Formats: sequence, C-alpha cells, structure tokens
Amino acid sequence: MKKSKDSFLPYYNQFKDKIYNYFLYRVGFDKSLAEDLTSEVFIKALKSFIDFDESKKFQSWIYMIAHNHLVNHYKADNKIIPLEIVEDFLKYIDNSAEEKLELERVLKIIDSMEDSDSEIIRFKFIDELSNQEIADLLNKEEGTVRTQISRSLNKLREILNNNSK
Amino acid sequence: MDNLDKLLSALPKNKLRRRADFKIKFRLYRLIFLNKLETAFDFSALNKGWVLAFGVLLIFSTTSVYAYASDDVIPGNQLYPLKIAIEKIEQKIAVTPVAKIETYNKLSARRLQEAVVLSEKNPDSNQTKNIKKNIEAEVSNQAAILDRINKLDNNKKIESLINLTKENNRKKIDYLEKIGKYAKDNKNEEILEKVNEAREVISHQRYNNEKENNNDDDKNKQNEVKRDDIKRDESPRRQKNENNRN
Repeated sequence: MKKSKDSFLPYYNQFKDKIYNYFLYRVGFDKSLAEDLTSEVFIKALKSFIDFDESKKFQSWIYMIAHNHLVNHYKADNKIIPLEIVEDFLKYIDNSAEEKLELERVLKIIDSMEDSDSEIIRFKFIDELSNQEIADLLNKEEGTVRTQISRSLNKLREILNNNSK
Repeated sequence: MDNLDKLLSALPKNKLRRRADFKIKFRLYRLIFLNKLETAFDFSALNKGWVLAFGVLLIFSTTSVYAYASDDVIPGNQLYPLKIAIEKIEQKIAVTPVAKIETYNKLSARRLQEAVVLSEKNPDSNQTKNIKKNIEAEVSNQAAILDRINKLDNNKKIESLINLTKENNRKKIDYLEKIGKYAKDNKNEEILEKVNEAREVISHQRYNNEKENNNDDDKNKQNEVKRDDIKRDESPRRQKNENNRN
C-alpha cells in the first residue's frame, strides 16, 4: 500500500524539538540557524518519506538525515562553530549561577574535544539516544558504542579535573 | 568531577519556538497539498468525458443537492461521503486558477463551519477527531489558496481574490473563535492547539504583492486563544515553563 504523506505529521510533532536541539548544540547555539536547518531536514524527510521503511525506527532515519545535512552545511561554507554565544544560550536557563558556570565550562570543553568524543557525548546526553540507537546511527556494535562513551566521558572528566586544579 | 553524568543530563533541552514551528508546519502542509494535487490530477487512464458526465449526474440528483447544500450533513452523517465526492468533482470542474482559488476559499470555510456544528453537538471522541481533521483540512486549503494566488500574474484578479480571501478569513476567524470556546470549555488542548495553528496560518498569510508586516507577533499575541485559561489549575512550575517557552 502506498504510504500517505499525511502520516508524516505525527512524526514531525514527535521529533521536532529533538532535531532542533540536535542542531542547536552543533551550530554554536544559533537559534535561527538551528530552526532553518530543522525546517530543511523535515522537508527533505517528507520528500523522501515514501522510501522510509516503517518497520524501522523513524528516529534513526531522521537523525541520519539531520547528520548528513549538518555535514553538508559545514562542508558548503567551511564554517567554524563559534563558542562565544554559549553564555547567551545559558542566560535563559533556570539553573543557579554556579550551575550555569559549570555547564558553560562543560559545553566549551565538549566542543573543544575530538569530533568522535564530542559527538558521542552529544548523542548520549543532549539527544538522549540509547546506546543501541547511537550504534544504529553510527553503524557500529552496541558494545563498541558503550566502550566509546565510557572512554569519551573519562577524557572529559580528566580535562575537567585538570582545569579545576 | 564525580557527578559528571548528572551534570551532562542537566544540559538544557530547548523547544522549537512557536513561530518557527508554525513556519515549518506550514511548509509541510503546503508540500503535502502539492503532492495531493499531483496525485489527484493523474487520472490520465480515465476518460475525462465520462468522469464529467458522471459528475454532472451526481450533482443534479435530489439527494446530492441536499447532501451538498445542507449544514446538517457533517462528518459522521451517512451523506457526508457524497458531499465530499461532489466537492471533489467541483474542484475538478473548476479549471481556471481563479475558479480553483474561489473553490478552495469556499471549501475551507465550509470545513470550519462543519467543525462548529460538530462542536455544538456535544461531540464524542470520534467526532472530536473529526473536528481536528476539519481544522487540518482548512489549514491545507489555506496553504493551497496562498500558493495559487502567489502564482497568478493578473494583478486585477489577484487583488479581488485577496479581498475575497480576506473577507472569507474574517468568517473563518469567527468559526475558529467558536471552536476555540468549545475547546476551552471542555479543556481540550489538542483542539485548542489546532485552532491556534489555523489562526496563525490565517494571520501569517502573506501575498507576493504585499509587504512583510513586522507586527506579526503582536497580532498573534492578541489573536491567540489564551492557553493559560485552561492551565490555571496546573502547577506553578509547568506554568513557568510554558511562559518561558512562549
């Protein structure tokens, strides 16, 4: 049976904020840019929705599109993620001043880590994906992902400890 | 740093701003509509003459006239599929772009009128779904109207069509007010959400020959049915989050 594009809208409602956050944390917290990229990703997804295999997870599929779109976005203009607006981004968060400072420090360190480490930390803690979902996305074994998360967290812990001394 | 996991989990998760959400939804609706349009016109295998003849016969039967014209024929009524079938024929018979825009205008107002009738009849859960469907159909028609007007190149016609659409939009806002009141009284957030979405589509409608109005947000704030009205009883924390998001 031919898949109706109308059935795409509930998926949009379910994943819009997740994909927006995915971009927000990867484009230097530029809200307008994250919104534009979110829009482009969902339009791209709708256009190829006919090819989406509904026996598979929509989440993995949409993250894959988002990831490829982000790569193309950076390739196109050779852009560098600015870090100065992290403070602005955190300005509107409810946490205490102390927590904000700590979050700011953590975010800056994550951004300065190697791509493989920062990406897996973002997948786990910002996108809140399970190890299996990350494994599907990166085309790796779940065990490998678990080890990589643990290794990347250790690196982050080490940098944070060194910075606090 | 012993509580690193906790700290990382505390990283803020933002929500898409309402205006951006609306813009994306509008683009998606428009794309879905255009796709439907392409499919609808792919009836090359059929003999158009027969389709037309059958359509004319169907339109002029007494039951059809009643089904088409009566305000009581609403989703759930046995004659409703007939009403929709006649409307589809009407859409196909409207060949010129102007006639099509006029038809979409008429049909989108009709969908909302039906939703009002449904909301006045103490709807069950099925009928509540139909109210939502009708509002969605209205948004889709609205996207079609805008798309078609912006593709026209006859300035005189464009002006009169924009006026017709604006006139029609005033009617639709009245209908949405009524549906919004029902949703508020019955604390139905899903319908309220749809109503606000439809209102935003109407108030954000921009034609190529009109300048961008910078006061959109102010207008929306005035127009929007206040969600706070039905959230009065909820916890202060949730209210605070809601306000931050807006």
